[in-house]
Amino acid sequence: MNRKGFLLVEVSVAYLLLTVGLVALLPVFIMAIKASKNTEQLQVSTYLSQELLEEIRLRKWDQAVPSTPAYIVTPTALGIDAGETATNKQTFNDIDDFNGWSESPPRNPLNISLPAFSAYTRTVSVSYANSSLVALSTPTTSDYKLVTVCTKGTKTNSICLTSLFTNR
Amino acid sequence: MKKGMTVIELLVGIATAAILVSVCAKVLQLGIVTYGFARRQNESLTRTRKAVAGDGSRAGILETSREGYQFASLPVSSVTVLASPTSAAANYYLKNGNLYRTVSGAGSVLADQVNSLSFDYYMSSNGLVSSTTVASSATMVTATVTIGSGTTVEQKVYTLFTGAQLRNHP
Repeated sequence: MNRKGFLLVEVSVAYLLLTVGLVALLPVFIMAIKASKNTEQLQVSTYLSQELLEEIRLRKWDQAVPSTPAYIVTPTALGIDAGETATNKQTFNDIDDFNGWSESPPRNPLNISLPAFSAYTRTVSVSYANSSLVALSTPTTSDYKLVTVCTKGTKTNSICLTSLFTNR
Repeated sequence: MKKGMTVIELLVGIATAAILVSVCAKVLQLGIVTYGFARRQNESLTRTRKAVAGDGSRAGILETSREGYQFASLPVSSVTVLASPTSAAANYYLKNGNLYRTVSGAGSVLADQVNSLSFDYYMSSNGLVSSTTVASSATMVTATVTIGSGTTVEQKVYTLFTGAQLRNHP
């Protein structure tokens, strides 16, 4: 009969244990919500990277390429050429002008910011590569230019897409 | 006397359990609602992407630009037709958040929760990119789609586009 005196303590201890268990589970839900947001950012990052890569594809392989595309022997240096503005990609006419390009938020092909994507940053790097797709350090040149577009969301890692462009 | 204590003890126990369960239920409910919301939005995006950028078996709206279709903006709940020069015109329009495609009068819903859909055309000349209003001269077409019904906070903006290889441009 004196065991009845312990009931409140027993119940309290039981619920305390239960609470500890449930509180331990809370981060799982928070993680799930975060994960779904991150997934969405990664998806948008992929779209944005693809989009900029297509934009770059519209350009000439090199400044020296004539208006009717043809193979050229001596390409110009990587980076922007004379008469081009580093902050305005609409002045870019060849793919290596994009070397070192960074835009946050991403801009449309006319260099106008897209406020809907203010959580993302797009960066580009261009280098020459050998036939094994290994980037070459300047001033070595080759017939391949390796273009990498990276998009980073505020909460996620970069999504980088690489494309190889040949001298044409 | 000891029996009276037992009732109070039970009540305290039940009250504690009730609080715990209600808190947990709220958290669980929030998780389920969030998951459902994300899933619905993702489904809408996938379907819109198929409709706009194609899915391998059927050309999307953007790919039909190759055939010289004229594009127009598709604002919310208006009926804007993308006229084709050929007789087998496929028309697309937005109505009540649904993206419809009609061929010879027969319509089908391609995607739901599409809040707005607009197109931008770009052409390149000697490496320089500029905008164009003529779909037939465009080498790159982008579509900006807003997915999600309800408030602006719940909406998501996505960009969809065609490649730069349209009409054999280098």
